[in-house]
Amino acid sequence: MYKRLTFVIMLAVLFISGVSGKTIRITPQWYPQAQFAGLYIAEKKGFFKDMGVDVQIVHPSGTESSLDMLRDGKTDIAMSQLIDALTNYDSGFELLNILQTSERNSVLIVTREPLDSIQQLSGKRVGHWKSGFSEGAFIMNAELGLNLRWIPYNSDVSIFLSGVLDATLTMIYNEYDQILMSGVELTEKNVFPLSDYIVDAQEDGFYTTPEFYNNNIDDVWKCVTAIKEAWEWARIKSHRKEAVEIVMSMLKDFNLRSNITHQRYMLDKILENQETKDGVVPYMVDPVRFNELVSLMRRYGFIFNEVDYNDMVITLEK
Amino acid sequence: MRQKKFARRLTGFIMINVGFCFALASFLVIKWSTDNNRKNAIENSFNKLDLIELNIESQLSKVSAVVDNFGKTLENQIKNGQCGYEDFENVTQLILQQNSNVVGSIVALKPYYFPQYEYCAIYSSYNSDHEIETNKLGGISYDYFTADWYVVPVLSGKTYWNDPYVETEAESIEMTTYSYPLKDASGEIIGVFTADIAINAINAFVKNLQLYEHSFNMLIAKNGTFISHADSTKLLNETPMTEAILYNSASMEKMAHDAAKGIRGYGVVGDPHKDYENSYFVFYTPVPSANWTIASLCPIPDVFESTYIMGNRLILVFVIAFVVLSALTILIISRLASPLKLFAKSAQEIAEGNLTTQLPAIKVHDEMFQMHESFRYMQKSLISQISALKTTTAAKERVESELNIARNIQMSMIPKMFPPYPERNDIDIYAFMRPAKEVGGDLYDFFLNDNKFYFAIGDVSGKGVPAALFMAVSRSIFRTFVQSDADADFIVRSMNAAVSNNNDSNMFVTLFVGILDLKTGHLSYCNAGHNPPVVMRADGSCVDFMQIEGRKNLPIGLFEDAPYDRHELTLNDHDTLFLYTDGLTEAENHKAELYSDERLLKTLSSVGSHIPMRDLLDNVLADVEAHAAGAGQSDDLTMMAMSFVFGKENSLALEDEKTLSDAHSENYRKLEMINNIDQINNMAQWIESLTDEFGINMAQSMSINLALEEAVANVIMYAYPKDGKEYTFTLDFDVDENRNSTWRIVDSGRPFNPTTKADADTTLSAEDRKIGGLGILMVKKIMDSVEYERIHKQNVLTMKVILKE
Repeated sequence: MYKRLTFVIMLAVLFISGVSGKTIRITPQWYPQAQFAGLYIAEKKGFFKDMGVDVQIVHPSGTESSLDMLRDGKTDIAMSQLIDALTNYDSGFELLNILQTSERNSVLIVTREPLDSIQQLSGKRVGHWKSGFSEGAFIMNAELGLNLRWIPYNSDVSIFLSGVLDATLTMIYNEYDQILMSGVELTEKNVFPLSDYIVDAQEDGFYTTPEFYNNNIDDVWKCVTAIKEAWEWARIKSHRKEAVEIVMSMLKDFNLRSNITHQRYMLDKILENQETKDGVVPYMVDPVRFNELVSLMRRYGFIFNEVDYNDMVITLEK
Repeated sequence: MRQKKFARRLTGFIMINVGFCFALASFLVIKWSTDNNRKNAIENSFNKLDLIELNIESQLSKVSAVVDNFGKTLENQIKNGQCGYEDFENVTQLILQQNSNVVGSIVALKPYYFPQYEYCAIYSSYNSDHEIETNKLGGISYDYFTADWYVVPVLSGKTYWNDPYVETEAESIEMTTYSYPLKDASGEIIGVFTADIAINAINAFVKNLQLYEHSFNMLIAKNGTFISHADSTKLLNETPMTEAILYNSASMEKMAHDAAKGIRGYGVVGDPHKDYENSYFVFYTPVPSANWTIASLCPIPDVFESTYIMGNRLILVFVIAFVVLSALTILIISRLASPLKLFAKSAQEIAEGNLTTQLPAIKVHDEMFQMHESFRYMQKSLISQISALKTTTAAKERVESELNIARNIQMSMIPKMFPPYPERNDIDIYAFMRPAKEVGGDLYDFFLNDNKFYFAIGDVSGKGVPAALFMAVSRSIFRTFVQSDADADFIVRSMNAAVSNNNDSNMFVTLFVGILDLKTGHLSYCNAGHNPPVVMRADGSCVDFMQIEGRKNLPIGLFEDAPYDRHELTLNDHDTLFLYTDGLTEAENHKAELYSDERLLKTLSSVGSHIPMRDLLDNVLADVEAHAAGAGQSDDLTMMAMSFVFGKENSLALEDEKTLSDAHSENYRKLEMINNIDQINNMAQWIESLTDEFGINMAQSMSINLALEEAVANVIMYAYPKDGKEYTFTLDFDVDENRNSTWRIVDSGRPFNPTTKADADTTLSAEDRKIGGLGILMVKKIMDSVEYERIHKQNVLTMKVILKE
């Protein structure tokens, strides 16, 4: 209630006062890749500019996550997975979800050998991302009592390909494709979607602090609008090629190696995961799944406190 | 021109077959060569790839061997508890010092190996001054516990070559790290010892050893990325799978899968059929120690260059050979076949009658020579046969001529002037004989001697000249005896005796001899084996064959002393006696059916006896010919019919009582004519003058001319004897005021009444109509009336018609 009133007042102030003229820093979760195409498109295609907001995209380092940067004031808006955000929120870092781009969970458990059920992985070595995004799998492990032996890894799938792991966590839009592009042939019995075992937890979203939000409601709304418009622009099939080229240019700027095929695949999958099964893009956190996720995380000790949906999630409407 | 076309056509056939064989042979050679080349190329490519692989393994093994040695040494030290921090430092520095290809080395220890350190990674490398520098690494910023070069050997317990990476993007140096898991005395892995090498040397070797001129090699890491590639933008970036997706290549996809499994193989990239220039063979084989794959992309044109060149040369040779062969073949065939034209010309000349024309000379003893010999033989044979033919033809013509003469002689021997006794109207006789060949064996004869009428009909056995000669003999003998007033049986016996004597040919004659008393009608006859005549009573009471009771007489000529009986019969006025030979009743049609006695009787019955004998015979003849229906005459056919009025003597007085009318008008005109067919023209001119004078309608004038031409021609041709003498006759004309014209022909030839000829049945065909009837029919059609009179031994034919203007 309080927040809503503040929002309206600030909105009015901002509307009267006009554009703030301030540079908004936005940080994606990782190094440039098609997962964050909406950001890059919003910048390159002038969606931010059209909204009258000045945005700087600031990427995280290898040692600091985007939420760390948000907490440390090194960025204004940070992308994060919902689970990660909940963990941080529970630990006292009040976050506000201002935009939810991911609608469906992307985690796939890929096994070295074909299995008839996930239970056959019990006690086996499973690779996971050291840097985060593995909490959903940890919850599944606890939920199913698989007693998996987690092996952390950095980024690429070389450890899995070396054969020392029995399975690995992958994102459908990234590591899963990396495994396929290495030439390994996978069947249905090698791939187990996480959402088959726990709630279909949403992933990528944009977060900011309440303070920033309150002081920059209008700009925040503009950023969110621009990002949404950028994603909708990318969704148009005829724009897809250009969208990938924008991503590739970002990779080049960061001296990062990737190939168009992989980035195109990643972009297609990210856009797919933004849609419901009916093809609708809600751009918001589903309250039912939110509450279910909170419940799960609490059950297995990933968070300890109840998190109210409305406390964490802001739906911006003009 | 014809020969050239033949040569061209033959050459065409030959060259089509040759072309087909050449093409098939070329196809097979190129195919076999391609298959062989493909097999060799694959084998050769794999041999070269194996060399590259061995070289890579060699270079890798040099490093791995060193690291393994150092690692073992370290392990021994660790096991003996003699390995401290400095020892780890030393070993990383030493390996750099002793191995120029090692650019970095690390000993990364497990957490809290040294209790004070969670992370402890001792790393030596070259600094910018190319001096070895050792640092301790590890922490949140360098979490080596999650690096593959650490995790994999720790988890597997085995050495590990990691997938190449770029140390610094700025320098773009591809590196790879070999890790050796360090174990303590209990066998627990306490860390890893690594050596980093730059793989530029490997890359250089991979790049330089080309299998073919335009081929290039690729080194592929375990994660699929290209370690070495002709396109540097693909390094550590693209994989065979991304290439397969990008270029929609099934072969690249297969290679990606095989490389991931460490399988050796090859495939075709691109579509050689659609885009030969941009299609490739890809050969690949694993580098087992590093789990890499070495591949080579070879342009198919390069692989099959030798086959392609050979194929092109083969095709060129084929085309040149084909053209040369075609030209030579045409030339040779033209030369070989050139005599054909000459043969054709010779054949034409021979056909035109020049039998002695020169044939083309053939020197070579082949089929042409055989043709030449055949032509020569044909030529000689033709000359010989034509000469023989000429001789034969001349002889045949002579024989035919003699036969014609013989026929004329034979015909002259039998009575053929009818009526034979024009001054007598009590005798109506007509006879007809038609030999089967030029001369025949039938005979008939009759002789009037003082009111006794002798007649005979006979049939000599056989046909042709022999029978004709026998007939002549028989007839002569008949004539001899009939003048002796002998009885019929005596005549026959005498003829038999004469004919039987010296009858070496054993021929015989069936004979019927009759002697008729013209006063009483008494007929005495002797039938020597001949067909019985038919008696036709004038009252119609009987038309039947003459019945002979008692012994049947034999034909004459068989036995010299054979008996012959005579028989009697009385004829009444206008009774008709019809005599014939078996050529009549045995006339056959195409079905070999005989005319038969029955049909003869039927015909005679239907015709009746109250008609002139000529007409009677014409009827019978027509019926026989109708039966024969064009079938050939197999035997001599003779008929003789006679009818009498008995007791009447010279009845010419009646004729003498008539007078020729002399009454004429002023329009009377007269033309004197002689029995010469050229007179017809005079007549035509005379008629023309009358046409002009009396204004006769032109069409009618032409019709009248036609009718008179027919009547006059009849007189010219038949009225007078053919003795070469000129006989005169007249044609006169008169017309009254009503334009009733009278045209009259008066001749003193033999009695002949053309009006008694039955009108021709114009509904019948010309062949079926009685001969002579058509002319009088035409005259009767043109003229209003036609009348005949015999006046003072003259034939007077009077024709009347009304003239049209």
